[in-house]
Amino acid sequence: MIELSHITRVFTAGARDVRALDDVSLTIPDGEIFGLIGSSGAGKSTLLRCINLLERPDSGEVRVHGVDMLGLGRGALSAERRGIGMIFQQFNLLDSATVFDNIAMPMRLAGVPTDRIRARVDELLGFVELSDKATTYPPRLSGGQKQRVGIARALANNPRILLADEATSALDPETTDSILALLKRVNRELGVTVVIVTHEMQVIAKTCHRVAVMSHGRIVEEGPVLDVFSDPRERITRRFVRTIIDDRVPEALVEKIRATPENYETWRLTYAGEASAGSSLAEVNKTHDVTTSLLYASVHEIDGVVLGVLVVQAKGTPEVLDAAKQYLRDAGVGVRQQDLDEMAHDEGNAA
Amino acid sequence: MTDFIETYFATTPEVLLEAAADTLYMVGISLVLGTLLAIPIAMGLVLMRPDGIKGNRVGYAVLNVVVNIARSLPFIILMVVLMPLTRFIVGTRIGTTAALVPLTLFIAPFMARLFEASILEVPKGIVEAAQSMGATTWQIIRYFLLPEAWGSILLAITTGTVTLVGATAMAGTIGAGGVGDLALTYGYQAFNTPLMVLTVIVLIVFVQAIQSLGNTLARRTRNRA
Ligand SMILES: Nc1ncnc2c1ncn2[C@@H]1O[C@H](COP(=O)(O)OP(=O)(O)O)[C@@H](O)[C@H]1O
Ligand SMILES: [Mg+2]
Repeated sequence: MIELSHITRVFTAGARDVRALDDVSLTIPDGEIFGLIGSSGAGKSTLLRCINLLERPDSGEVRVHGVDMLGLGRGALSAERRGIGMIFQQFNLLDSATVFDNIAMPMRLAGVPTDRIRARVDELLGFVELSDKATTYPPRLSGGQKQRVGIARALANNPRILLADEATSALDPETTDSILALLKRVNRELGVTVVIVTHEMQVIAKTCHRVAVMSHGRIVEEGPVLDVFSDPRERITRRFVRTIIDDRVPEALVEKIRATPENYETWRLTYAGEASAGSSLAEVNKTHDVTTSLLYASVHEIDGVVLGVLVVQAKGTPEVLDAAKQYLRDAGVGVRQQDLDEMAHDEGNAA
Repeated sequence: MTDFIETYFATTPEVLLEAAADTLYMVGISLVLGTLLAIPIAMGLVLMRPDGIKGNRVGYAVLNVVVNIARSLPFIILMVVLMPLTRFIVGTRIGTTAALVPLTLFIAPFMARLFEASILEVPKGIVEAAQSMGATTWQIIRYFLLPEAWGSILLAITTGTVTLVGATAMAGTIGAGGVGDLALTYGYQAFNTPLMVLTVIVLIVFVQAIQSLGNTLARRTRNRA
């Protein structure tokens, strides 16, 4: 378990103070893949680096597996860090050392005997599927291969936690997918808790169980990934979700909706897994005196679960609309009023 | 051969060989001593930078100023300034061995600056990766910074060697001998043009050889990469 309590970190940049972390508290249970998303400069990396104290917070508490990290002396901190692997956007491999020696490094630093190092590196090379690259130097590897070496190196001392700072941001989409799949294996097969920092919602959708959204040094929203995708509450979160589920509609259509003479509401309907908003919606039309017109529909896979999103305009009296919403909710469909101003296409993108 | 040399250069093969040996001796020893001094100085500069892993404003400022002062003295002046120290260490102010003191103290800060630049070229991320593995400061230096900077450091040593060849010629003014001295005393002052031309050729070949060797070693270090 990783427990960060009331973490504050202020950087002095010239005459200006930058509050990179502003009283952030966060708990990450063991065995999870946890995502930290936010725009550039939100404080994600700083928060991640507070876990292994590459960054020392100005105030607050950092506990990893119950150990008060800030209270450790130099030697004890080194030992704790061996239990926390880290991978980076720029891989940070030694160009002057072979793949084998790169992966062996954390063990050499820890004084592991040579024969044990050899066996462990071979095992890790197999795990990341690079057994034929042991004697290659990193500059001769592709980006994806470099990150695999980075992952193998981070796992060398059998850490229980793996920190990933934009680990796929320098990779093409296909390679990104293979690295994310590898991180999932690290989590599932080795039981390692993985903390992923990213500015790409795609990474969260494909990999994480839970996510925290950061903005201006604070965590503004946190929860299971499926919940956040189906019902994002904060504006910034909605913008990130829209990079995957772009439920906006053309401005002209919004204008038409505004001009609707009858009483109406716009709804964002979500359903996960078994439920189906399509059939429920058909039922509502039969059983209630409402007419619905479909504005947007999509199906996505989020954290291994199918998530459907519909945006509809529903016309009817306020009482009937309320009854219809209740009917849908009872059928397991998420219903939220959609603000017309936020619905139009020209709002600009996240990140 | 001896006749040939005596006819054309008005000197003996022994004199030529001794000059070459003196140059090699002075360059070799002061290069080794200078490098051994320069590496810790450069490390100190890199580590104590305000954003370094052992950030220390005062320590950095002091070391920085010391290096700058040492670097601002031309070799010929440094040699004179250091004479009392030289006499204290070597027992004499003149001669080949005496020249080692100013040569070493001249080249050390010069190479320290070059090494500092070489080490600063190592991406900061490498140090972060090292720290995330729990590496101590010493381990960061030994296993991360020096190996990663090594190709660039070899080129810096090459530049330092060439600079030392030039400085040894000036050391001739305190009776240090060497090829430069040969050119000065026999060649120029005794109007022995063929000898002067010979020394110039020898120096050019010498410098070219050093540079090629340095480039090759550096390329080999980097090209594995
Ligand atoms: N070492 C530093 N010195 C000064 N400012 C920093 C430093 N590290 C981060 N910052 C500032 O802190 C803020 C958060 O940075 P960071 O955690 O890297 O954001 P993110 O990873 O979300 O892009 C940014 O405004 C950044 O400029
Ligand atoms: Mg970052």
